[in-house]
Amino acid sequence: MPFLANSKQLWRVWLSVLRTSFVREMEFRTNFWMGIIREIVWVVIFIFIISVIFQNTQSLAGWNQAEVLVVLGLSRIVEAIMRMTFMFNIGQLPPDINSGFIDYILTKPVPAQWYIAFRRAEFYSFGSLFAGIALLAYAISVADIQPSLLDSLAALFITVLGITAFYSLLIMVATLAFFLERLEAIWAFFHLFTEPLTYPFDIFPRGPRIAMTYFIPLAFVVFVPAQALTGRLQLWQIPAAVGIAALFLLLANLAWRAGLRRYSSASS
Amino acid sequence: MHKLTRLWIASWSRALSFRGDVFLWWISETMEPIVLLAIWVTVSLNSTGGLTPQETLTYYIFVMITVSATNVWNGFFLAGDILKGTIIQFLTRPIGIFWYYFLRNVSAKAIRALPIVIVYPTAIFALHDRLSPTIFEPRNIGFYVLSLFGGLIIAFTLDMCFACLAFWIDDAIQIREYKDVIFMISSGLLIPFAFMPPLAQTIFNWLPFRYVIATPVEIMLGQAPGTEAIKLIGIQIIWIVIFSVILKILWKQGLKAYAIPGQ
Repeated sequence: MPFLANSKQLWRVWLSVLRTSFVREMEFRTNFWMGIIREIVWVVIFIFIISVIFQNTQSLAGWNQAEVLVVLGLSRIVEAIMRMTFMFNIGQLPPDINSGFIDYILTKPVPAQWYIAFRRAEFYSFGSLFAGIALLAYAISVADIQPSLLDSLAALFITVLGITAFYSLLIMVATLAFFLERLEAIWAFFHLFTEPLTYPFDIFPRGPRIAMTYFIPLAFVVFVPAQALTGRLQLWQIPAAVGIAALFLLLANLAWRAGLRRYSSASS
Repeated sequence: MHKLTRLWIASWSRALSFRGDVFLWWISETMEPIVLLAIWVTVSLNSTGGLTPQETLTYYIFVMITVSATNVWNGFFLAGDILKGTIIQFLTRPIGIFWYYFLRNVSAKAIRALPIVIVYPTAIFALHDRLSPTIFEPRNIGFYVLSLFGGLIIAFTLDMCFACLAFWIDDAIQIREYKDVIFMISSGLLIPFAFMPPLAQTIFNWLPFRYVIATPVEIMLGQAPGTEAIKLIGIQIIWIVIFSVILKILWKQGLKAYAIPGQ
């Protein structure tokens, strides 16, 4: 498989991307620090919302305050990683298609989909990442159930699969730009998909919960890993996460190839 | 009026050509209140204070309508135009730049109104026995519509004020995003005021944001009986006057200090 054969090269390219992205961020330091602080402010706001929730109730759909903070902490970490690495880049695909910039990307000696997804890193998400790690560590320390090493590894494994499924979902949405004249509202989809990640999915009625687990696999991004950390994981969820991630990755690649076949260059 | 009519027609045509994007943005705006609805209905089922589940459901349905009606995004583009120097094209036009952005905003909302006038009345009709009966009172509907308009003008003038900071500050867009953060927490969108701790309520009551979202919705929920609704709309008018004056000053001073990039 060409992708695996080139994996060392891709890793070197990505390290280079990280370096140049960091240098670029440091050229606009005020903007960078304002972004970091804003991300931390958002984490504080979410903590405030959860404290208000638990001033009004003892349990949120069977989850106590510490467990909801586990979900929140994990959601901040996962969203920060996704925003830092591929979310913003995939969102740039529609204007790149319209402007013909993708012609330039297609000539690069790396897989085009990989380059589009990982061409730049957004470092201001570090604010959310560190705040999320601190919050997760605090929430686990005060939670009634302490996750074992196996629970933690399962959570990590499912999180990676969930991020893979989410990445695939974004690619599938972004490739609509090959077929539609315009898709500037792609950010609307991203907002749509990230909104439910911050809270336990048990607050939703059964129908939306099933839809967001199997048809738009958001549950495996944060909620199921949080279930692993709070002792709620059921064994069938692990192979389900593997199957869903594999299926969505396959669909994303099929959509990508179909989009490229449809693409006609802006310059010819 | 003739110039504004022509500008409206041009704005409408532009919004119509991007109707797909407008529709998708409306769907994404609706998602956040749906998630919050799920949270606060769950809370209200076990809570002795705040809103009842019926009131919470009604609250967030009207939050969705109110957000659709009062959402303003044009400050981002004005700040960008100032920083890039492209406001020069507006300075030579016979219509003020703020009319241009306001009509763009309203025309995009007019496109969104097409699915809204089908979706929300259908939802209200389907759920009518689970919603607060106050939403069917003509008095509340009348004051709601008035306060909705007031909320839109507050949101618009405030957003334009923040955009005008771009005359002096390169990071005006970032500062505007901080304004959005405060808006989200203090407008009654993320947390209904009825669930908030008293200290938070007191602080947020002094900010203009609660008069954009929470005020119209609370009027519809019947939480502004008697002359209370008139008082709230009066406060909206005060905020509109304040921000209009600030905007006029910022715009005038900004143009005096403005140097177009590259010239």
